[in-house]
Amino acid sequence: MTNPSSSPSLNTSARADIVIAFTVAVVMVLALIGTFEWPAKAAIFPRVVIVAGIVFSLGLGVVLVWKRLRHATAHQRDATVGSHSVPAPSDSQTDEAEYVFATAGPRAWTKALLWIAFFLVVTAVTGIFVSSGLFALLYLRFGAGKSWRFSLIYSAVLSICLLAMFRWLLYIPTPLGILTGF
Amino acid sequence: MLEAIASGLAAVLQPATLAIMLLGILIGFLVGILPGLGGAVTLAIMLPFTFGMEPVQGFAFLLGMWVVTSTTGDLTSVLFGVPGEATSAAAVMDGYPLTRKGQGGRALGAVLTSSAMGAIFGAVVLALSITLIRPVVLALGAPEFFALTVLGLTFVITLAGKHLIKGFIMVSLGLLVALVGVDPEVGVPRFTFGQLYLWEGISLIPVVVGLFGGSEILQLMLSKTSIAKASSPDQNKLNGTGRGVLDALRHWNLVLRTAGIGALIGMLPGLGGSVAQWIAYGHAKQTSKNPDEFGKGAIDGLIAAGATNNAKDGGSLIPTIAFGIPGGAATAVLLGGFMILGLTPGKEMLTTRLDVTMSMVWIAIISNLVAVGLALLFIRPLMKLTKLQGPVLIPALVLLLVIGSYTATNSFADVLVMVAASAVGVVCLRWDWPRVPFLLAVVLGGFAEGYLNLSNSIFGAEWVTRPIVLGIGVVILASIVYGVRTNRRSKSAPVQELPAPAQKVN
Repeated sequence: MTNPSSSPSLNTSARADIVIAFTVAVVMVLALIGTFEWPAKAAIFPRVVIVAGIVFSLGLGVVLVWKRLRHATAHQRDATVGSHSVPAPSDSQTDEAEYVFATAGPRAWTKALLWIAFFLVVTAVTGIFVSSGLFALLYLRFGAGKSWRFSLIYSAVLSICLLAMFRWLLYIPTPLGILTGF
Repeated sequence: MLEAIASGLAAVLQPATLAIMLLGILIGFLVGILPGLGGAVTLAIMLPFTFGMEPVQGFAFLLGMWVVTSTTGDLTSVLFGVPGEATSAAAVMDGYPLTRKGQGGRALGAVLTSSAMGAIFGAVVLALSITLIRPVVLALGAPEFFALTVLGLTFVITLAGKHLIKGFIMVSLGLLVALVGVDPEVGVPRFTFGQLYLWEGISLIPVVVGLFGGSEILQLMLSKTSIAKASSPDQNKLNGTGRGVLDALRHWNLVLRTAGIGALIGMLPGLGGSVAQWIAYGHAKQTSKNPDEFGKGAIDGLIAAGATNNAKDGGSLIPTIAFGIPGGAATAVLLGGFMILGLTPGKEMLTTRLDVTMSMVWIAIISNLVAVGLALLFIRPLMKLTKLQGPVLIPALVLLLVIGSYTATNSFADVLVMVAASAVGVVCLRWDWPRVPFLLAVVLGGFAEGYLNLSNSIFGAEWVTRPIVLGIGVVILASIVYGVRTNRRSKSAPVQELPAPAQKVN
């Protein structure tokens, strides 16, 4: 038996919608204030768009808050009667992005975001040719738990393919490092 | 006309021309798979190599390369959820869920077949209408184009599913993003926060790559599983591909309709494939027997995306050849090819050099068929990639995301835009907000404002009463009424035993 309140997807969805709606409304209001610095000709279209955005986002936010308040009493009554059972997610549901994002723990999120941040910072500093090889090596070894041998071969092949395609064959500009210029 | 068609084919079938075309196809095939590296970039890089070529040879090289990028762009969309081109984003919506269900072979078979059919349709439209289209295109002015952009935005009603208000909020946000940059009317920087990079506005490519690809890759990092999880009898078998091919052939009616939309929108200078794909996708959803399946692996949604993507190329060549007005970025670069090859778009291409024009039709058809054949040959190894552990693919996919977004303006800021778009994509997926209306608004926002300003400047308020504008206005109203009614009906439908996830295309 699973209490619905423990299901992150179901419990936080309405609250998240309210937060998103009001966040958008705040962004829109700030944008509207920004338009008063522009000449009227440049501001007409943006104001129409922004006012529409404010109306929709505030409208959704207010309606959702009202619904939550209205159902709060009923929800409390239901909770005292007993907990509801929620069917376990099917295999196809666990594949869905919504489920993966909702159920991944803070540790998994932190690790994933740190890996991405690492790749971006190293790319900015050393350029894509160095960072791609380094990221592949370290991510496969420590993030994916692959062997050193596999990680080394993978990163070498990736770097060579990258160099061949973008530097030697097509010469398409790629991110250069601040330090290396390569 | 028939004589020109025959001599056009004869010129294309020359061994030297065929060899050059094959080279172009191979380059286009590779570049199309790489996210962000679109046909325009490839054409720009390869343009100098056409110096000294015969006109038909030059076009065999350039056109062969360009039209193939549309086909192969769909491959990464279907297999990895990362759009190979900005115009392949719609293929992600249903192609990637099908791959995750273990039906990647079927998805590839369907998208490739519909791509080939769409390409042939677009080429036929090009051949038939090239000499007739002039008065039609000339009848359209800024007011009509503005009305068309609004029509495109009304498709948000279909694309947002049951979350209509969320769809409108995402449209507002998308339009806000489109407003970033120097105002086209008086030259005032808007929402640029003192950053020179933002003066030219936010590029579409990093937004598309991040919105769809970034969120999928993060999902793969978190779940650490392979892309294709569910076991299916189709998996890694050619009969799965065959089923996809049959699906596309069975939906020939949908292919024709969406290819028609692709060719028509592609014909309108400026709008292009980024818009056409969503309008066709919305149309496919509106007319589908299973609209609830859209966004979760609807085969008709994928077929519509494939057909539109390739048919639009034939359409966009029409104003390029007939008036020298490029339909999009790639055809703008292609115009340079006309100059290099000693041809002048316009009357000459419709009279004395009609054979060259018809050879372009044949090149579009043959290149697409060759590309589809090549892609079908590689389906088995491509499918195996989706069975690899997710973490093994991550370094290569992250690399493609970064390079793909960087190529937009060769600035690291593009990568940061991609990261921001990925965050938006994750929020949308996590809390069930629609992504497509946001993207559609980013694409259409600039056009809408530009055409509205032009309409007001030239016609005052009277542009609203122009007959074509009124006609499009009626279509817009009908589309809104139909969408809202369908929406209400689906909401009031009896709840099933197990509640299905909300109807969405996010």
